[in-house]
Amino acid sequence: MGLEVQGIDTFYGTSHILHGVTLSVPDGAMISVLGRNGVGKSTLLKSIIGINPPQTGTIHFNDADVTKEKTHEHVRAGISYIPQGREIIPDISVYENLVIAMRGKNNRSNQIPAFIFEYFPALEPIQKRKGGILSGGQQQQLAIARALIQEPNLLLMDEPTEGLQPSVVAEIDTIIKRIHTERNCSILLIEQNLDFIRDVTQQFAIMDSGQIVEEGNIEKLTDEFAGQYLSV
Amino acid sequence: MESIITQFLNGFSVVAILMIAAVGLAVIFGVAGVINMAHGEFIMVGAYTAAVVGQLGGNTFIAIPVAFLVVALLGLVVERSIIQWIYDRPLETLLATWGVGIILQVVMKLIFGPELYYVGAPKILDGGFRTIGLLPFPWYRLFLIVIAIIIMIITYFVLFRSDLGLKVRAVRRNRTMAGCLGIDTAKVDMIIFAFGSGLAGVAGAVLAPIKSVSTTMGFPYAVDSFMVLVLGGVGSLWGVVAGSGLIGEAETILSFIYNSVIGKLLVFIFIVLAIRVFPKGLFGYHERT
Ligand SMILES: Nc1ncnc2c1ncn2[C@@H]1O[C@H](COP(=O)(O)OP(=O)(O)OP(=O)(O)O)[C@@H](O)[C@H]1O
Ligand SMILES: [Mg+2]
Repeated sequence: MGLEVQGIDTFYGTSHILHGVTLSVPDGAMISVLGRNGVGKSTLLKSIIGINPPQTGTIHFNDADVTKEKTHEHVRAGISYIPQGREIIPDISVYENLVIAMRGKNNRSNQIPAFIFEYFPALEPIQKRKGGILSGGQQQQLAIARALIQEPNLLLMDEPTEGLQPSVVAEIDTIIKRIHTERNCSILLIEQNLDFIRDVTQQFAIMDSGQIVEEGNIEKLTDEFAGQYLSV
Repeated sequence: MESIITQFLNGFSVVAILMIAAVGLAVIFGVAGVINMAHGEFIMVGAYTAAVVGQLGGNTFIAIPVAFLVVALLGLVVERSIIQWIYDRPLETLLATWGVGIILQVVMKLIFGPELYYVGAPKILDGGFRTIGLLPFPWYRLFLIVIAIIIMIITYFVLFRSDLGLKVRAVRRNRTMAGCLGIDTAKVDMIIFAFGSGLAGVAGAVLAPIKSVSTTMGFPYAVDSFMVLVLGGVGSLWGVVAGSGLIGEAETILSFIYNSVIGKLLVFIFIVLAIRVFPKGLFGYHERT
């Protein structure tokens, strides 16, 4: 059960980005992936969610082969994705951004489930606002809310703390931990912020040049250890 | 002066015809990003549908939904068999839809022969009423104005007040992310292509009584529709309203003052000048991403 990525190779046109990446996220796990800029972290998530599927290798989710599925089929199967840069749809409202995520999971209700505003009380009063005019912190909250509303089994998060002030990072930290324990959801988290990773995840993987070069329990991730891979 | 006012009112019916003809093209281009070169032929098929409905004893009111369904189905077949594979290649969609248009002309000629068909207006819309001017204003032209308004309202509701519309707007704005939210973007494209085609069918059905039905009848409507979109843009439905309004009124009034050739010419020059100022039309447009 869970996610099994087996030896995938992914390309953008002719540039070979992922080289035989193997990674598993068992049911209920919370794993972070770190690595320098441009090593292919986002590409890994894009391969999993089907934006840029791998050319070789396989991806299994809950024992089904989903390697060649379209993005919307992954979502239906229980994987939700929070992209780097949030990708809030700018010209529709906060409410509509949430509703469309529900529709993507075949939920025809017009009522935003109450638990969403329990996690993100700040979103409740700004539901009519257009997505494009939200602050970075609000957009990140909306991006997480939009994924959470789909009640996924697996959440893919790409740098949720990027560009946010420390107090907002702390809020996101708490929310991710709550989601993991309360919503029965495994999480694959891409992050650069070591303190954040050590606080929220139990396991990590380090990528370098399109490959996973280290994996282990979070205790192993000391500053010196990470420094070998993160410093230039 | 009085006759200028009459012409202005007459202009409304020309505007209505432009709106009816252009909205299907605008929906397909604005949402699915396809310049449908077969648009005129889709209108033509709608008109033949009305002719057939007429021969079976139905009138325009029956022809409207039938033509919508027939041409929507036609659009669906074209989309599934051809367009779905080439959405992201604009030049090929242009050529492919152009080819579809030619095929439709040939096929319709084979089925219906070279003769013209005439479709009567429904009995209760026969005749006209007198306005301030001298010429009576035909009821059917008033009906066209009403139909144009109804079509715009329905299209507005489909695109901006329905679940489908929400998906459509998300797909248009950010196709990849819409997919990542679980939206089947290919299905949205397909439905929108069929809907836009159906609107062209309705145009054919309501325009049939003011024009003889032939396999080449769609061409001038297609040209006018393209002018409306070039001027108005397809960033919003207001583009269709504004484009039709300006072109329809200007052409009617200028044709009255000078003559119809000079009227058309002046409007054309006006459009060329306008797109130098508004290269994407008055209301902009989105490229498929
Ligand atoms: N759409 C694309 N087309 C071509 N190349 C791309 C594309 N997206 C990413 N790349 C390339 O793929 C490589 C990996 O990019 P990716 O976004 O996965 O890196 P990353 O590890 O997420 O980096 P960052 O920490 O900056 O987010 C980079 O060299 C990048 O230039
Ligand atoms: Mg990245």
